[in-house]
Amino acid sequence: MASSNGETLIKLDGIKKVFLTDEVETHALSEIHLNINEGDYVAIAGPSGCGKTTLLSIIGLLDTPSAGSYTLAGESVANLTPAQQAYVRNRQIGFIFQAFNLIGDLTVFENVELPLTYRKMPTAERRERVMEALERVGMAHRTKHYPSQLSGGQQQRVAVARAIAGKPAILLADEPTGNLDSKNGGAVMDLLKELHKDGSTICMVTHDPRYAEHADREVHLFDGQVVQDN
Amino acid sequence: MRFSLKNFRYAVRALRRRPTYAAVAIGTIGLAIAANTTMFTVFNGVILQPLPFRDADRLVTIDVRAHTGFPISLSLPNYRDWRDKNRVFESFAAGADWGMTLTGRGPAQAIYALAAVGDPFGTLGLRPHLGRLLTPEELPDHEGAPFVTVISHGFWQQHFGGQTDVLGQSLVLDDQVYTIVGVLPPDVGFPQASMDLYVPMGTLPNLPWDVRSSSFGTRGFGRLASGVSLETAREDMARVGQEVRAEAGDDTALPELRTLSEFIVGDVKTPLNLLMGAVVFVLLIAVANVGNLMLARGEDRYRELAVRGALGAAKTDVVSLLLAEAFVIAIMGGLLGAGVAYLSVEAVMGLLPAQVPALLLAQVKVSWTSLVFALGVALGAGVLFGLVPAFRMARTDLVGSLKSGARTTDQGRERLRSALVVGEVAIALVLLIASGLMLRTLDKLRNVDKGFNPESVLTASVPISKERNATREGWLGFYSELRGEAAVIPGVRSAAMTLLLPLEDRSWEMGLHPEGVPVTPETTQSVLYNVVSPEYFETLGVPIIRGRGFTSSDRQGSNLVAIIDETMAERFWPDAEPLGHQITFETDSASTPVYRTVVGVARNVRHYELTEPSRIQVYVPFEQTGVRWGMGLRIALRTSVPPSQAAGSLREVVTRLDPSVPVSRLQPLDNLVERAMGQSTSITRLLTAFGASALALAALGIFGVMSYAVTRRQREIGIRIALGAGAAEVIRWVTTRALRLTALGVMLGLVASVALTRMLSGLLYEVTPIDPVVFAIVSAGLASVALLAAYLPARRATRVDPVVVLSEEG
Ligand SMILES: Nc1ncnc2c1ncn2[C@@H]1O[C@H](COP(=O)(O)OP(=O)(O)O)[C@@H](O)[C@H]1O
Ligand SMILES: [Mg+2]
Repeated sequence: MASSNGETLIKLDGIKKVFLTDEVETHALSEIHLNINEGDYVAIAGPSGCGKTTLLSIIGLLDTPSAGSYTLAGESVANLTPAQQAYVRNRQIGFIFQAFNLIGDLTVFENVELPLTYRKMPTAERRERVMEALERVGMAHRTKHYPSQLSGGQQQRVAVARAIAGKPAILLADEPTGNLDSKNGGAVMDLLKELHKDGSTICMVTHDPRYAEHADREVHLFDGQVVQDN
Repeated sequence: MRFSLKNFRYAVRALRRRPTYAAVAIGTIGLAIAANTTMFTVFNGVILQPLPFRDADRLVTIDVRAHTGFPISLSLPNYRDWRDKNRVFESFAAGADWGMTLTGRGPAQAIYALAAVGDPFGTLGLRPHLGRLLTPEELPDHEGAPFVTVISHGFWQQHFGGQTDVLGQSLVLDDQVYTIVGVLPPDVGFPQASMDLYVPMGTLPNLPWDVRSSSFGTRGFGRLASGVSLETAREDMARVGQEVRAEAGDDTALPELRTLSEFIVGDVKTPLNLLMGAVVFVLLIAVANVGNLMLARGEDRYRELAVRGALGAAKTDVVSLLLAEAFVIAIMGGLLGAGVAYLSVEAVMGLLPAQVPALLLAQVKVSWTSLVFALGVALGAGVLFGLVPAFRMARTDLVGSLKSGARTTDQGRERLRSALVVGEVAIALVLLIASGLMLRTLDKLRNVDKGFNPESVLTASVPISKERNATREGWLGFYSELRGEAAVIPGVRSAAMTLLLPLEDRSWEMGLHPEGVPVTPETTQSVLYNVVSPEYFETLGVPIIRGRGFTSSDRQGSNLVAIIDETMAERFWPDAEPLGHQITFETDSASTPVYRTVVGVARNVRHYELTEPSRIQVYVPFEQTGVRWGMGLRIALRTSVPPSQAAGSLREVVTRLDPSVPVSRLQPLDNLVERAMGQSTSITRLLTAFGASALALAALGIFGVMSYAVTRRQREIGIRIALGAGAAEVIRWVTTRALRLTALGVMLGLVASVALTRMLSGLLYEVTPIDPVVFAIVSAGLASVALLAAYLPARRATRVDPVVVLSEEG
């Protein structure tokens, strides 16, 4: 196991995921063991269809494993109710998607504010957090814009701001540069690196070896199994 | 724009591939058109169609206003003078409804006849179905007319089975033998098609042929000469009235003209207009719903249309394609609607106000006009809900909409869809408030203080035979005996005879003078005059609030007495004790006034209308009727069993006393009350049905828009869930959107209601058109239904799999 400085944040043991479609079983993940410590920057790499997104969904509590145990910050998440899962997602997890997934009808500010609206938080504090996050990604001057008025790179920076606004325990990014050209992609990767330097725990999916190197640890998946972890 | 057959074929194929969508769209529009066509059919028959008489617009009826200002009926001297002096009528006639007893054909039967003078059939332009009609020579304005009769088509069918040998046969009516000379065509008659037969007034005994002030129910009517306007006719008749008054005296009544159609259609116009308006509202909601469906469908076709555009289709081609589909839906909906209307007209007619005359109901048929109406509405709706989405679609930048990060859905179209739902909610609210107001009115009517207790009372009309009616003793003896025997029928608690029953549409007004006032026509006060046996007050549950009721000692020879009602007590002796005062009725005083003593005060009874306090009613004991005996009386039985159970025994009692006497109008007193509410009841029923349809359609609209929003926004919902929104937040998000639309619709609807419910005010009773209770309850109810309609899509939204936002690539 490579460099880890903090406590164990995520602990996956024997995680399996089987999809059943039209009587065909797809073993998306088989026997995944993986630990992520606080402050880690992990890149998950592997060919298309090897189960990267599935793994990230399970870590992000968007999906539940078919077997295995998953401990997040020392607590098992196996038996959480949907409402508890939502609570954990909202407090502990920050998502960054390949397709940005900003909400078209909301302004930049409102998009970033969105996860905070699911918490009981005074408006002033919410505002402060949003502006802080937007400044962090260099988008504070575009608060009133709509996503469609921004470039792809700008949209993804807003998405990053949305992910960090709630001060989550871990950032999960699924091919965050997949929809960007190399210049914009590079800028987003630099942003993630800075966040990591400032202490954020990041787990990023990518199939681009160049970006995988940004991380201080690479996990290679193949056919639903970890084939290399360094 | 080209409407090629290919487009229509394509539209039909496209609809067949989406059976649910097609069924919902066609069903919605079809049902709305059915409702509209049904109402239109009724509306057309009752209001738009001319009366079933030749040149009906030239027919007028003559109302008579007494010098006292009250409406009375036409006396024969006035009839003669008005007929002879006018310069505007081509022909002239008069008739009085006359209850007669038919004997010799099975058990004695009460029938309805019109006793006619002049030329009624020529005036109305009627032709015989069989034989001939009565001529002016057979209908003289004096005694000594031939005993001939024309029967209605219905009477012919019922009594002669439609046999053609009916001509020349005879009928025994009130002990006189009449010869049948003709049969009327079906569904016509005067004043109603249900009139059994027509006899010369000159065959009836003892009519006041030469008493100018008499009033026994005769109505005059005439045909204006061609080219004479109603205005001209009114002026001329006003002149005639004044001339006659100048000759015959100041207390001569005056004529007033109305069109015959106003006389016959009269009261039902307002409610029918209202219902027609309501059903158009339902149609608007249905159109909005289908419009919404089409918009949704249009959005699903984005890609297809983009491809067509890319392949070089002009925008007009795309528009005509969408229009073709709209038209196919409209036409199918129209056909479905016409079919359902055809089947449902009969049922709706059963719900119509009883006040709609049978003469007009007979005209209610699903005709070509109705079918043209249905298809016209369908096509109009088709243009409306096809054109708007089609043009919006044509204006859309299809390629631009595929850009990443674009608005989740097209804002303009979503706004239009939302606007449609807001409109639906507003319209539904207006309809529901209208029916809410009517329901409250009905409730108030049920609980109105009628002054009597209609529960458990059986009533019937029992005429008297000529022999018994020949003497006062015969008259009194028959009715006293009848009352006595009826009182001991098992289950009967008390029995009473009475001249008038409340709310029965039968009245007897008399001029009255209190003591100290000179008995002259100028000082006379018209009051309701009722003749009752002592048990009347107990039997009908009319409380005596001062003094006493009648007793068996109030008989001929003892002190003449009367009971007055509260209104009279207040009006005549506001600050004094009414008991002990003397009153007299004008005809009693033909020579010297005969005074009666007021011995009691009864609670006010609603006699003419449930909703209006009656004019004064004065009661006289039936053994003290003085010169005024001989009228047919009603019997009332208060029962300890359901009143209809006593009906058979009552018939037996009457038959045992006199087999030649027909019992008619045998019904619980409750029926009269129900009938008095009839119009309100049926309007309420129909309005509530329309309101409920509107509510269902609006709920469907909200459900549709929210379902669609949820489908379109799966990704957005997925993002929200990924960011930590729980089920509660997602449900709140969807329902809040629905509630926002609903709130807007409710606000608009409230504003519209304030403006529109005023039209209802004539139909409301003790409920203001902006009744806050109704407004509040209906708004809250509608909001709850909206919430419910939004809840299902909201539930579905919580089941959106957030993984979709990870797996879709934008
Ligand atoms: N919801 C699903 N239903 C069925 N099969 C799925 C589902 N999601 C993913 N899979 C399958 O699981 C495997 C892994 O998919 P995924 O995790 O998306 O791979 P990656 O992100 O590495 O490209 C693939 O074979 C994919 O087809
Ligand atoms: Mg993937």
